[in-house]
Amino acid sequence: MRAGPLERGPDVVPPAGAPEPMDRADPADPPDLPGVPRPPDIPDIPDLAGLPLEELLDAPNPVLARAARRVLDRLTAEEAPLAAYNSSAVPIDDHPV
Amino acid sequence: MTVPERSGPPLPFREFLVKVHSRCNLACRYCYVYESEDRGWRTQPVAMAPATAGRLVLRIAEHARRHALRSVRVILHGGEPLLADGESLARLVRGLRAALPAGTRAEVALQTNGTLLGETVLRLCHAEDIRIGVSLDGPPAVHDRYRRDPAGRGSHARVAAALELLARPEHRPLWSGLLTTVDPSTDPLATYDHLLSYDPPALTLILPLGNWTVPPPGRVPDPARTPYADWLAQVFDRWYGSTGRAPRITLFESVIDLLLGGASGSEVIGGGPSRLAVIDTDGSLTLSDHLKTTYDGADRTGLSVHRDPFDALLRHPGVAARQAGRAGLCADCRACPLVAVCGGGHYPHRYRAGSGGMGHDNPSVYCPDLARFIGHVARTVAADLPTTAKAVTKVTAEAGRIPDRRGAEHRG
Repeated sequence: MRAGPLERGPDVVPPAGAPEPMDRADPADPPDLPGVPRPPDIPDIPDLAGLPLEELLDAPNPVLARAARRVLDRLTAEEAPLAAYNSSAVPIDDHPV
Repeated sequence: MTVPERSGPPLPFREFLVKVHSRCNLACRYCYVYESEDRGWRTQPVAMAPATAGRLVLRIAEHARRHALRSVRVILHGGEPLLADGESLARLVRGLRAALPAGTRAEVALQTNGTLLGETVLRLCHAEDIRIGVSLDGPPAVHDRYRRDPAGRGSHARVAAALELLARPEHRPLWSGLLTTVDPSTDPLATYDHLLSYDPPALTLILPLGNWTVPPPGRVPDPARTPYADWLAQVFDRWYGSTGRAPRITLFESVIDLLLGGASGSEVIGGGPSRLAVIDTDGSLTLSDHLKTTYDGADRTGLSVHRDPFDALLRHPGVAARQAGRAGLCADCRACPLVAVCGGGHYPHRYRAGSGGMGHDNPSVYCPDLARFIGHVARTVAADLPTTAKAVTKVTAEAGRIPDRRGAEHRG
């Protein structure tokens, strides 16, 4: 039970028509390493890593064209991955695309 | 494509998450600070003292100077950072910029629940060049399910009012984006449309923190069930197919970039080295506070800005583990053909009590969702390629068949 100002008040009554919330799943069994589920079967997935990025710069879909520009730019940029809780979506030293 | 193997000296920190206030005016049911395994918040000072803040900025400057950093990003965080008084925030930010070497630029942001965001705060952020990220999970029925105050009242109305203010042309340059925790029990498109209604410049979709010992909501052992992938795929399709203005979505952009052989823009996917340090209100240097969801004390190191430089934290095994790249992953992940894209997923999601690698020698608890979502994105992009770029092969379950990532290794 939490103490002090973070102690929760009564639960809010969900609005009519709201979907049932998903409560946190029950904790898994105590450590039982063989019990870790097998990784999923990996379906055939297109390999896009060898595509000519320069040609994608003119892709009709702007999302894809911007992605190609980002990948090309970042090949030469100094940057770090964003922290998970950073909501800016712009890595440090990233160039606008 | 491969997740980079890292060896050699640790990479310096570039992001500094500063806990300027250790309490919150909300009591969100899923909060990883107050509602998870860790109890450290109980012993933290409520606010960062001026002496600690002063010592902190000198430590960041010292780190920037020692490693010749071109820029650092400082995120004002909590608890709720806007519970800290404005003058102390201003002093910290001014002190930081004054202490940094001339060649180092400081980006400063704060991540807020939005309930205290008003004109006074906006004036402060304009004056001190602080960008603002706001947490919003969706429409009222979704947001208020979890994000309530201690009396049980939902916070959506207050956040919505703050966003309307922030979206005004005079304030919009301050707005970095929205942070949304995915709830797979909700209607993904209704949620996305609601978020879009505020016209955010960026949207960060974050999977709930959980692991093999305490699984996230709805993440059942059956790998055939992928509620998070199913939710994300619908939003991705809407976003990818949008002909109008759409916000940047880090997770989606990162998956596409990784599939194209690039690097990730986020620590949650792709396996890039974490460059984040977290500083508690008492000046403790800690690992990612997301580790609070694993066990009590998981993020603590015994180091402090009052005694130790950030380089001491760089030498901590918990930092090395998050900079190890592919070498830090479990055998199943290293052998998986998708590892170049997922990178093993977000480090806290791999935890299982009692397993090796400080408990992280496992695939992500979201492995089935990540695999399905990555496949969905790859097929969507492949179907959309210009004719000239159509020579697409298939990734198969043969590890190592995928060509090397462009550029071989993350830089920086």
